[in-house]
Amino acid sequence: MSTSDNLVEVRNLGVLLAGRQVIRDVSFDIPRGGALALVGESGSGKTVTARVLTGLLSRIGGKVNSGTATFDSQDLVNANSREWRKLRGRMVALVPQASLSSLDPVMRIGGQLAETISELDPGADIRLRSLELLDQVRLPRPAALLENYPHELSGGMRQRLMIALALAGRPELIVADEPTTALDVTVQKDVLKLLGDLRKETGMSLLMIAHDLAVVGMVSESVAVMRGGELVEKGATDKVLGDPDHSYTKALLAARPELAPVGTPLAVLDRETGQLHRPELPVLLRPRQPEPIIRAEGVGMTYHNAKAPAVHPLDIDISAGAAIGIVGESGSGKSTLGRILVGAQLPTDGTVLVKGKSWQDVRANDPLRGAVQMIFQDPYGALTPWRTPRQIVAEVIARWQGLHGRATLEAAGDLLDDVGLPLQAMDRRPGGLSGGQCQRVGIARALACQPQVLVADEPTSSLDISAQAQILNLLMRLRAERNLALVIVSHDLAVIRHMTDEALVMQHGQIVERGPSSRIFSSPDNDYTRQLVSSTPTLRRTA
Amino acid sequence: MTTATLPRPFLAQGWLRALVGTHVSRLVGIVMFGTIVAMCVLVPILSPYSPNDFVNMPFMAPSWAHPFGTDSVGRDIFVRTFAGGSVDLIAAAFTTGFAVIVGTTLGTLAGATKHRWADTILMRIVDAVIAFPLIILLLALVVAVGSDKPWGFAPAGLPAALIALMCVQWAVYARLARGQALALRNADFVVASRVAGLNPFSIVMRHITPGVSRITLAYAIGDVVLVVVILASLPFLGAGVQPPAPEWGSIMYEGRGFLRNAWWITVMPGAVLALTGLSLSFIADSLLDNRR
Repeated sequence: MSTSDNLVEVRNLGVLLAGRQVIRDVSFDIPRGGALALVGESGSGKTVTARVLTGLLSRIGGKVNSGTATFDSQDLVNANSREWRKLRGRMVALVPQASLSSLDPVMRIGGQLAETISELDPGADIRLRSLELLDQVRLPRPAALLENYPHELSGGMRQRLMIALALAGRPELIVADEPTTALDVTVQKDVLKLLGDLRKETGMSLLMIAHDLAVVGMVSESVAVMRGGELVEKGATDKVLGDPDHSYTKALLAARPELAPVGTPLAVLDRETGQLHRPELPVLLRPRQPEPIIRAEGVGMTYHNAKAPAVHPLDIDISAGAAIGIVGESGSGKSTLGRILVGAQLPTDGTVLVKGKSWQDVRANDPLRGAVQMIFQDPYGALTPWRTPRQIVAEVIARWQGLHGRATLEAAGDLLDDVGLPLQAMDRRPGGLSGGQCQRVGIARALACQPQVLVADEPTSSLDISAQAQILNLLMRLRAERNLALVIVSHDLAVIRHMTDEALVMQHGQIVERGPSSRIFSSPDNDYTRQLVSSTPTLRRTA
Repeated sequence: MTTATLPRPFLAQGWLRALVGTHVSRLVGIVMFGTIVAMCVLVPILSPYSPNDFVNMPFMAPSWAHPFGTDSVGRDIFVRTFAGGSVDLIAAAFTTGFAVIVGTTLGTLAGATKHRWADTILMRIVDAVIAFPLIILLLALVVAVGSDKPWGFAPAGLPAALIALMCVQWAVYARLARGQALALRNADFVVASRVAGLNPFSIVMRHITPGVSRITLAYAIGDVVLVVVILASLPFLGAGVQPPAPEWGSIMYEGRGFLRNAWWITVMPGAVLALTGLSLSFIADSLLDNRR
């Protein structure tokens, strides 16, 4: 067998971690100068696979118990730490996910580069090489940057710096572990483009780990889909994304909102049958109500000691059954606006009226308090860690529905069942639940107040794509069944377009564009909106 | 894929598992401390002598008959040590328990309240209390309360020490709880509870206090050790439990003059005191350890 064409060959790899077989029979190749994207949801084993190739598996206590992995015909599975010192950085380099925690917060950028260069490229002129590397990753004003600390850089700049550090040893393979997950879409686009350009310039190979199929199309010509430690499908990116063979890949694609007609339920993979199914949605009943439930008049927020307002004064009306999207990147003020609308935070300008009463005058025991509820971005953080879903929901039911004792626990069980939480999860602490399950509990708690408006702040951005589809389906069903008004705050244009009728686009605390969602995302008027739309990775509708 | 490695469980499910978790050091700590407490209860009951009996010759070295030897007047140090242990441990548990309850309640309320002025006033009082030298307060109280006669079960000299500790100890817990409560009051789950209209009191009791208690508990266990050491050092200042009542500090104090010839009078109760501290530290450390 000739190995000259393939830089990396993995054959029948199996990995044991904490007594569990987390990787089973995984095989793939990365050709010289080629790229492969490993895609999968959390727990699919994609990161563990990357750890085998970077020699970091033993750090987390994992062990390869079958198969082989070679780099340029060199055995990686049995390489000892001395051999890894020669390989790591010089042959294989890692670009980690969390750029801030991977950099030393008290060391200047120049120092961090110097340290890496002197280790991997001894004899090089450190300053010259540093500037060269910063230039290579298109960082502006490299000389000045050497004097900065990591916290002075934006997320996108830090991620470029991580790539520069990875390039220091002129590696033949870069392993990028979700390099753009924490970045805004406009920044993500640039970083992905940079990775593509660097491949062309240096001829290096790339192994990209991602959870988002749409991102993969922008950097890699081949893709491997993992699920539960197994590789279920691999092939050319166009083929896999356009015409997948495996039912799981089909499900991943069908779960994406941009591929389904707006407002329709998203397909979900049934774990038992392996079949795709689309849940039925009740028909939306929309009695027109002239009087809005929430009326925000000139609402703005300026934090103490802040130079510019986080939210410039703006007006929003929300009436029953409406679905409004608030779109923006980090720092746009969209989350602050969301919190002001639910009354979790009082605005510094203007007032938010709930059925004519200002939040300021609504006490904890006012029935209006329950009328507007919130869903949080971090599903775990939104649940009290030492209380079970049933306790959390029962407490709220006891508060609003006049039930006592056992009856509240039963009502909580019914409500949790309605939002699709399995029975065995109801009495476990949140730490033992999945992200999607926690989000269901958060929704059930909100419903226990019998709300008329639900404000969801990035409700699915920390969830896997299949969990996202289920939560979005649930929100659409609740909206239809209860005539709930939905306010969805998100950076994800596909989610907003799928879920809402009207959208506001925010930038630097101001609304730059508002109008019907279908119009805004197909023919935006504003430059910033246009930039957002063009940066968002999407899958073309095929088949 | 999460990257945490889980230690393999070494105990079956059940109450013991729930108590010990996966920490070997906690198990060791609990066994050691349990043994010491059991000795403090059992030795005075089962022993043929009372702590103040003159049982044999003075200055006898440790032997099977007298495992810790005898003191300058021929009392059995083994019996005196474990009889005195209950004085130290009960006093420490009592004052620390009081401090935990008072301090945590005040501190949690200060951290959770909307009224910043109430928080400010309480925390300045806390600052003053923490800044006040404990030993001076103690000696002043000994004069005021007197150390010549026992109060109920408390041997002479102990009440003044207990009052002084109760005056001072709570402040640390108030500060600890306030910091935790401040961090938790803006946590998503507390905001969610507020938005859901739960009443402020139940938010504090159900969603904030339990989060405060873990660190407080660990600190309190460490504090028990500190209080035992303070009580045991008081006799050296002329305060504390007065003779002839046995107490670790007073036994060691009596032995200080004979260290060269009869080291066991000081070392034996000192060793028991050290082991108590060690075992409690094992337990406290394992509580603060966040690895699951």
